[in-house]
Amino acid sequence: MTPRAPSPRFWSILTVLIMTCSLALSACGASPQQSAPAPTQGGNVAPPPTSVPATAADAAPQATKRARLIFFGNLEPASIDVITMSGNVNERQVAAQIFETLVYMDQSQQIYPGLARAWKRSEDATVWTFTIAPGVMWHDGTPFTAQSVVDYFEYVRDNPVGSGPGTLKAVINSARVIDETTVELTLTAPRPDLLIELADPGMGIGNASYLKRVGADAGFNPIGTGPFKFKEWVRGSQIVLVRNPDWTWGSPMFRMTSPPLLEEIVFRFTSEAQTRLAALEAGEVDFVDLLPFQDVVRVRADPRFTVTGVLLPGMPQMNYMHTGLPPTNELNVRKAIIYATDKEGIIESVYFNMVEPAYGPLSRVFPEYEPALEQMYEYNPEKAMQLLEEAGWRPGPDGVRVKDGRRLEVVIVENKGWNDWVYVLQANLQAVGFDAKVLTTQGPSNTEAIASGKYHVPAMGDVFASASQMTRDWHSEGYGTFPSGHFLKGEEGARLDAMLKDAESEIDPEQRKQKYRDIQRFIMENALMVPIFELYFYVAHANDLKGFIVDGTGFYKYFASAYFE
Amino acid sequence: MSSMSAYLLQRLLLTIPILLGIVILTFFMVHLTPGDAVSAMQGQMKMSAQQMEQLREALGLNDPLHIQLGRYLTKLIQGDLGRSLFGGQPVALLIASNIGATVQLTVAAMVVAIVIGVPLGILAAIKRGTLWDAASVIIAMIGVSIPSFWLGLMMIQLFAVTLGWLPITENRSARGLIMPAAALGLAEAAIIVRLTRATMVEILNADYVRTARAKGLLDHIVLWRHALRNGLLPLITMIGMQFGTLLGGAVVIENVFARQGLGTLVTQAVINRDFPVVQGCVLVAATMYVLVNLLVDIMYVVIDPRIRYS
Repeated sequence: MTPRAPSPRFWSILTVLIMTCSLALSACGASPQQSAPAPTQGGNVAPPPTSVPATAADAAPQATKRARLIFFGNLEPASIDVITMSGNVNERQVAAQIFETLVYMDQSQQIYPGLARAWKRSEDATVWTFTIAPGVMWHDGTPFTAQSVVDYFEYVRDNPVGSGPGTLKAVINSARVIDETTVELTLTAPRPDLLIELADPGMGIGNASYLKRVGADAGFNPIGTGPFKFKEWVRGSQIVLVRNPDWTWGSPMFRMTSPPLLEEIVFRFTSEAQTRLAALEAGEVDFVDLLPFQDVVRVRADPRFTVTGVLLPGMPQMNYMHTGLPPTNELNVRKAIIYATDKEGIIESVYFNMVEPAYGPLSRVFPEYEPALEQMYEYNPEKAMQLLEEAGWRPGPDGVRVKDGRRLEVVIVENKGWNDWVYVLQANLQAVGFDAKVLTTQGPSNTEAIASGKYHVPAMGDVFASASQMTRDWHSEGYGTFPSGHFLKGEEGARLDAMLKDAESEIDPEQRKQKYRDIQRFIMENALMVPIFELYFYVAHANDLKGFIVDGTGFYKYFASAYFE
Repeated sequence: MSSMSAYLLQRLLLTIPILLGIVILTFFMVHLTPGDAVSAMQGQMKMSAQQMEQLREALGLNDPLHIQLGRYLTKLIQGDLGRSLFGGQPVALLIASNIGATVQLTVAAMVVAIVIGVPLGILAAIKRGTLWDAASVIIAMIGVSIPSFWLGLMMIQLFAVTLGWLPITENRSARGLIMPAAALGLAEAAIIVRLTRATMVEILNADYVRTARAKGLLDHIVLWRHALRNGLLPLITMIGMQFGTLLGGAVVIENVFARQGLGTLVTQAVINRDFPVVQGCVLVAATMYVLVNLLVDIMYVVIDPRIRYS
């Protein structure tokens, strides 16, 4: 009798069992924060990431093989109301299917008509006129009109709770109906990038009269005009949306004038990335968000799935440097930190080469990006030590540099789960004579730590679609989380503030580009940040899922035109 | 009124100050941590300082703590647990829609722990010093050492991804409960094995068991009727105490298996500084814990008629 070879399933089970035993034995000594994970495929170096656009809606799909899409995201929304939502990214992800924005922007940064079929702006970009799409209906069957848009903007302006549209509260002066299909929006200041802001999925037009009538409960039974209607929300489990059969006014971005082919979208959530991935591999879900970097190569090799990596525009992953606290109040110390940071090492050991190095405060995808920054600093520990010597920081008995009896001590702030590079940075700084400590925070405590202004090198990053959003990260008045007022004081701070406000309202594209390049140079010449890497956002989905569209930030997906091939 | 009824009434009345103490303690603990719900919202909403202040005022977060506590207690007495600061949904509704799943998971995990733990512990006691005994010690050691979240992930790999036998995210089916309950219950089973073994070894060496054997009673009668019944008392006490541990473990397991439940709810609420939800969840969990312990006391009487409460 010929012995039968063990089946692949046998080997899979054996592998899992061996893994279980070995990990059980080694679990006690593991130090996850300090250890850099090994490459996933026998030492193979992962291919450099490329910005792969998600499947575009090339032509209007005719049919779908399956009618139910299951999306597995990381955090459950707190609410799905465009006004009261907390800002959790999955709130926008769900809202993007229920609500429609006045305009849309796809991943190529092209603006498309949405609920506004046409628009024009005044010379100084303070008065905007929108022509509203005809025949649009709210999910409750009432008509959507120009008055609905005015009501919405007035609700945003007057409501104390600001979320996505909250950023426009101070900008909206008035909104008025010109005629049945025309709305005029008057702003308090020039806003040349208004369309980009309006295209954010968090700017979906809500039904103000419904919001006033229902209050906060509107977030748990949302009504929009979008391609999918809200069906049910089982807290902690799933949100179910169903096809809106009346939706025939879709944006030209979707290239379809009929209702969606998908009957139902189910959103499920867990912050456990391995569970999300396992559910995809087990065939339970069709789409997973935030694929772990260490699994990208492996999942990409699986013929059942498509992995998409998108460079998220905005402020790259970085560390601010506090200019108001010693020792980072010294320019030489700040520059030394940049020279001492081995970002290539970070990218290889922590991110498996699935991201790319950053050189300044703006992603390279923006036309305003300043390429000259790429030559400004390189990884050079010797240069870092030389700068510290010049500044009078001499090695002490324990290797930590001292000056006037003070140790060269800095605190790096980590937002747990987002800034895994900080431990390599810590080692880099210690290698040139810093006493670098890491303060681990999470969520709100991170916001609190940064806003306290007590720490030297807080880690940060931001995602946005327009260079003008640099204001929220760098202006001293800022928007709470990132007020550079905590980091940049005095005359230089005032100068940066003025530069940002000037650039924000610049209408001429070439002038604007120059002004933002000046800002980037100013920030890096003054060593106000340590650029680390451009953030890539990896998602994986079943191969037969086609036709979904990724928004301008690269983060959100529109499923109106999605189908299974 | 019988002495038992009087005792129960007394115990139930005692829960009121206990729960009140827990409410006040929780209130101060969550308010003493740095930050508030508005700073939590700020993480992604990019509000200006003025907008944040407006929101704090609207939510009453600027009021002195004792005023906020008084307002909370007044509402609590009226049965109102307040509304979530994120989204404004009533806390009672949030808890009501999550508690069933947590109780289901906890009870299932408890069943797994008892069904595996008690027989293995008895076996180890009867066969002490043999390979069976050593095996039970090893199983208990492994069970206690493996973190439940990691065990859950390994189970997912084996039973869902590789074998395709069990679902990962199906919350509503009995099949969807198997892996989470096993992952949560196995560590508790290990503890029960050790305790059952120790208790049974002691009892099997007791004089009255020796007497029973000397009288010629069959082994299984000695074991089930004389030894195990007495051994159950410490076991039940521990199982009651473990209920709290399981509730805590459910927080992690619910996340691993994307299950709805109080764990997921309270974790998110703590991160968001959503005080009313945190307080509501703690109050409910504490009430459940107190009631389970009361149930344990009642079971003492049922199992051992010599025990009388007065």
